[in-house]
Amino acid sequence: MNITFTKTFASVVCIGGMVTATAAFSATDFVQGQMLSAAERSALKPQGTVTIGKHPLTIVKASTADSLDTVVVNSVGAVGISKNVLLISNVPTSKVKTVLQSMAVGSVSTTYYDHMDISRLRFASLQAAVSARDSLSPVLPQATFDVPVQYSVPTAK
Amino acid sequence: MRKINLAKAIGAIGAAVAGLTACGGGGDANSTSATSSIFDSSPTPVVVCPETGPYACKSGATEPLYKLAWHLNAAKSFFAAFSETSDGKTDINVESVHLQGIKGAGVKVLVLDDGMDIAHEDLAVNVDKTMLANFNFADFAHRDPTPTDVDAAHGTNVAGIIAGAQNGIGVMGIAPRATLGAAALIGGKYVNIIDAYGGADWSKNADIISASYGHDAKTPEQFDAGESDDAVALRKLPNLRGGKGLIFVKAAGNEFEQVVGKACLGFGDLQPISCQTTADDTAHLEPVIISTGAVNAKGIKASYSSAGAVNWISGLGGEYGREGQYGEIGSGPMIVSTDLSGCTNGYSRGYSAVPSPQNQFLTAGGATNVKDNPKCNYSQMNGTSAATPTVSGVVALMLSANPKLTWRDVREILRATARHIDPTYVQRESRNVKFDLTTAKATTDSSSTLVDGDTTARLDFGWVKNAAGYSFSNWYGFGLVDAAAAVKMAQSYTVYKDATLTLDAFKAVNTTPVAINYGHVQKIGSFTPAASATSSGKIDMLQLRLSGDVCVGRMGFYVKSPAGTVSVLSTPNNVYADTSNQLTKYGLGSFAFYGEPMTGTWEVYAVSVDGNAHCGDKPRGTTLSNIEYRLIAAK
Repeated sequence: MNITFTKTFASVVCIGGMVTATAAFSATDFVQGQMLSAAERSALKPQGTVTIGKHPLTIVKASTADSLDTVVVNSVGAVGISKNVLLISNVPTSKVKTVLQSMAVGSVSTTYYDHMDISRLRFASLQAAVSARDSLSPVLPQATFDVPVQYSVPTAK
Repeated sequence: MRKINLAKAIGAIGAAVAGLTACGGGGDANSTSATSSIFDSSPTPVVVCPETGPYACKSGATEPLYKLAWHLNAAKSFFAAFSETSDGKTDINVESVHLQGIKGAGVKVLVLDDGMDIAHEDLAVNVDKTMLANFNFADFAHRDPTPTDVDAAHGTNVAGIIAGAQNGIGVMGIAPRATLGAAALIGGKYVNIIDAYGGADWSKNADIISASYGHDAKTPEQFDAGESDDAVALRKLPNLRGGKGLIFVKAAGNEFEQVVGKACLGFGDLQPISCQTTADDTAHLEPVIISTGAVNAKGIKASYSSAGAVNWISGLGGEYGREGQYGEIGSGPMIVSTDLSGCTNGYSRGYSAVPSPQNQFLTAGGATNVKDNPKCNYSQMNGTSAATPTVSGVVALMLSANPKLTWRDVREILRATARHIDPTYVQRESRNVKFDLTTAKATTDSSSTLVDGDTTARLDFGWVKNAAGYSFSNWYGFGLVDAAAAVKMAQSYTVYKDATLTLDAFKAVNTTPVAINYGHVQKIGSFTPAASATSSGKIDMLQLRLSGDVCVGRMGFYVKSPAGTVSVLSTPNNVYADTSNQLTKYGLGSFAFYGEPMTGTWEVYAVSVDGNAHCGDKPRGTTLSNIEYRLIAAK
């Protein structure tokens, strides 16, 4: 994100406090929220594709042992980040636990938020998270599945 | 000083719990006088105060920087003498609440921001160390959210506005006895939103989350499309607070005039229109969010405060405050609060060059700074970031007065007691006419009609009273928060609203694609919802979702309710002008119809501008393939 205020001004006048918006991820080639031009998009070297919602996403940087972030570009050229997480909500966590006992989905960690009816599964890759969503959705038809992708970072207002 | 409302004072005393300690007098001179006047004729005067100690039932006048706290008491503030920047009467109307001894005791407020100086002299006493986290670290052994970056004073300022302690030093918050938790979230590399929004042990006991941050998307983001962790967590907030729902107050945004790094077009004779609408940060489409705009010391919308049909309420955020001793010259004052401790940290460490000198209070080493702020522990802040904690503080007072309130009750009380300020702003700002959609010139037509096929349209309807009798404005939501009125209503509140939140699936407005006729008001669809046997039949929120190949930055979307109320969900020439030609599940919303019947025929309009056949580097798209709606019922 381009910053038009200086850092000093941004910190005093809060509405210019967008210095935190520069929170870049570890990849050096892309910045979260960046819009790629048509030329930049055509020069991408895809490492796979997934579909979340109606958006086909091109994976341009897979997660690694050093960075859990998967960098994607959506159909309009916006750069987003996934942390390879699958959220299962609107069913009790006990039900998810039961299903996962009989069905290996390959998550590297699972957190159950019993009081919110949310189960959070993290995977080694975005493809694995999407694959798990596709496997689990028929088994948990009442559940809501989300694979979060962030195209912008929170900034101070 | 604002006059004490005798009826309010009597009501509050009547509501005081038994066994309270008698107040020892003192405190604010005017309040003592006013209170005495109530009981001069009473045969059995009993003045009780729920607090003990030297600050019991005293106003913020006990604090040295009180004179700068125009948001607490405008009439007594230093700024009241400067009519160019202050009207001397716009404040949060909280002093009568403080004089009752209602100061937020027993309420836990979680500040999600860039951290908080937990050892600050005016905050430490209120900090609950079990409610801390720092998302800059993967290891939660690092829980302390005290910033190490000298610029990261934002959350510390927010915290002070909410719950700066009343202790005879520095400033006082709106709820000075509330408990504070905090997480360093903005810029954090290891953010887990579920943890932050009530999922973790450190967050799940919060009563209120104060969130002075937002997202500035470069392109329209999908809404409710399976890729948001915000929505997943926010929709579970009603589960918290023992099923009464955690209260989430969030900054509407500062993108009225500009979005950082991006120019906004404005609209010819109308400069500016809101560059970004609040709903462009899709979290604001969640009905649990209390979206908060900002008002300045003159009692009108702050210059930067984003407008939008999902704004619920306004707080006090001030202006830029750059000039003079304390910001009294120029655009107007900011909100005084706690800063990172010390003269080498935070906003008050001293700035001299960019883009203009700061006021003398903020300039470390200057005469005013040395006199009033010698340790540089205090500063000033503006923005909807500052307005949000003013509302969070009021909510803390409400919950302290009545812990049984559900999240819906809190919203409702804020709405019902809000002040309808600046009633004629559309006239003052020359927004009360239709604009030509090709030339962008103002016309002389001041009618409020919305006619399919017209080439002119209103871009702002100002305050509109809907068919339920509620006045709403995209600038102010339901109005400026009123602490005294909100607390009084909270005290007398006995019939509690259902906290559960049920969201139906989106439904289609159209069955065939719609070709856009740029430069026109165009009815693009209508829908007639089936009556639901389970709902109240009245609307809480309307949501709209759009997909297709159109130049959305050149289009606005309006909705007309069956009762005839028109709401502007977005305006043309918005932040997405020339950047996006492809729209996938773009979400918009409105509270303008709140309380109206849901049944009947709703109409959806596109209001687009002409004059540019391209959208960015592509030919302008012309087809909306899907228009969807969701009506959320009131309870």
